[in-house]
Amino acid sequence: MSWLTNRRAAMPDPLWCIGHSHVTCVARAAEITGTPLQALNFWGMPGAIEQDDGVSRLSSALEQQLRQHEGPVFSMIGGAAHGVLGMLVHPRRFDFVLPAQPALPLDPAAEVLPALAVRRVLESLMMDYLALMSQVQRLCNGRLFHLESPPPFADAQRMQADIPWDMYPGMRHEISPAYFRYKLWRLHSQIVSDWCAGAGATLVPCPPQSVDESGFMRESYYGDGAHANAAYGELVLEQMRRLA
Amino acid sequence: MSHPYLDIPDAQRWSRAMAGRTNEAIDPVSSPPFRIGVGSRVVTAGSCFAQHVARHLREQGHACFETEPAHPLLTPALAEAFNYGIYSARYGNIYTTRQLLQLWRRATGIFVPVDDIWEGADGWYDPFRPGIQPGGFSSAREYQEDRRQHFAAVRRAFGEMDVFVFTLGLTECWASREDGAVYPLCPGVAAGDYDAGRHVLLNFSVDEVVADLRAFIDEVRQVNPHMRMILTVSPVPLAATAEPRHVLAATTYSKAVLRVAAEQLCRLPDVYYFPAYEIVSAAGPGYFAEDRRTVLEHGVRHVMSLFSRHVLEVSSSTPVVASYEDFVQRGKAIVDTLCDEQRLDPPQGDPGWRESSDDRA
Repeated sequence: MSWLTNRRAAMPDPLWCIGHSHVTCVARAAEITGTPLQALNFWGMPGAIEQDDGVSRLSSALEQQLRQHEGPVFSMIGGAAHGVLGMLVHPRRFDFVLPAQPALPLDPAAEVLPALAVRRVLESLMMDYLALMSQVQRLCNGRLFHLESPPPFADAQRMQADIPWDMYPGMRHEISPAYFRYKLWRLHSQIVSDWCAGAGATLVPCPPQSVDESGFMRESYYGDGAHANAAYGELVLEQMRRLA
Repeated sequence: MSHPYLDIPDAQRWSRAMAGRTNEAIDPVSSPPFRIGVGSRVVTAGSCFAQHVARHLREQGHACFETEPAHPLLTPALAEAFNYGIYSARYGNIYTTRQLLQLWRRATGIFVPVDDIWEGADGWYDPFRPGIQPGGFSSAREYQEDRRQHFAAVRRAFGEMDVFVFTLGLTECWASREDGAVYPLCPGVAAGDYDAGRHVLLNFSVDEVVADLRAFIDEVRQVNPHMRMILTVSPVPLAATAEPRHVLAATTYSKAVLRVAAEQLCRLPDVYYFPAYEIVSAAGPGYFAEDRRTVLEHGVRHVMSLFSRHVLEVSSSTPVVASYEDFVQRGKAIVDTLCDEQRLDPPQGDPGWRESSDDRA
């Protein structure tokens, strides 16, 4: 059995990535590149998240797994609340001025809401995910890195084709303007960044190669409108390797 | 013997209208020249007491004519924190008639104050609505965009309302020495910086209050000739006076001026005075909290029950509750569907879920 022992010793420890649907692009990239990865994707783990008095929490089995892991944990928990709030045009069209970049374009047909009010709405949609991140932070022995959600894709026409509209009759079939989605993504990242600063975790910005000069996702990394593809996952995987 | 008092109605005789009556049995309201009909577009404004008026109107199904309503994504608590739904538009409390006239003139572009925006340590502030949102505006641009929307909402509210219920609150206010712009709060109290060289205390006389409100009525009626008005005087005493005299004396002066001004103004066509001030003050301490300033809820209820009985036509409508959940739930469904679709195409040999914690990949 000594050959097996040696082989195991030669293999690097797998990277640990935990979270929701954005984990998929990293898992695909790991498969393509042959990178050892422990991908804990809640979307493929029935029962991984339990409800405790209305609050989401990790199952006992998952808690146990995290406790026994010694290395860093990369979180892709949540990461879609900005899409929930603003991928589609709201029946009462709205926009806001991003505090950090107030000169960004506004939707001329939209009413402008206070950025702080929009932030509070977004925070309410992220509450469950931030609670899970807190739990992961408490359980893991190594450092916690949170990987920023993939940037938005500017071309709404391309996204339009990927949305299963037939499943939602009566909805307005309109993707929100690109800069509105961009601002929500930045606001989402700001909330996560603030959480990380308070929790002692590290926010890993999206790979700089993945965005164009305006900050939108480059086409070669586009997945399905809400997600990035495996090529993007490879960039993230490389970030993880460097940080591990 | 005959004289004018012989056959006067009971309401005109103290012994019958007041003496021995409980607070709740006192009804000093005279017949209004008009009533607020169901579906009337009612706009409310004024000092703190006006908030009670707006709230009770809503509770009785007379929804205020809201031209700057909260977005349905905001929860009721969040909307209230940002001063949505308090009045018809987000103008906050309007304490003086000069402030009311100024709001209309700013909204219509007649007056542009020199004092445009205040930069604070944590945000940007509207000198004329310093407490309109927590922490101020997050950028100068947000303030400018919000003000543009707000002025449009004010023009629409005043330009299209059927009935305007205005509560006269104060005679004292602070103004800019540069152009006379008046502030709802002294600069430096909620935001901005007080500068004796730039700011001056005004304490309006009856003539000034009447002139400001007449100008407001005339200017609004140029675009909204059918606008009718109900005036009240707030029974709430001054929290503080900047005049060097006792706050009670300052309160008495202020209420006297406002009450006389209201009396003069209600001689105008379609302007009616509703005696909220009298209803509360007749109860003595009965309708005030221990601070002798806060009007207790049962006092407010008495005022509003008389307002309903004499001024409102019966409404069968129920308040409209904004739907917060619908859009968010549908948005979740779309994103979840895309997430679900990811699940339909998982990477081969997905090492993901491990029931056994011992089984490390």
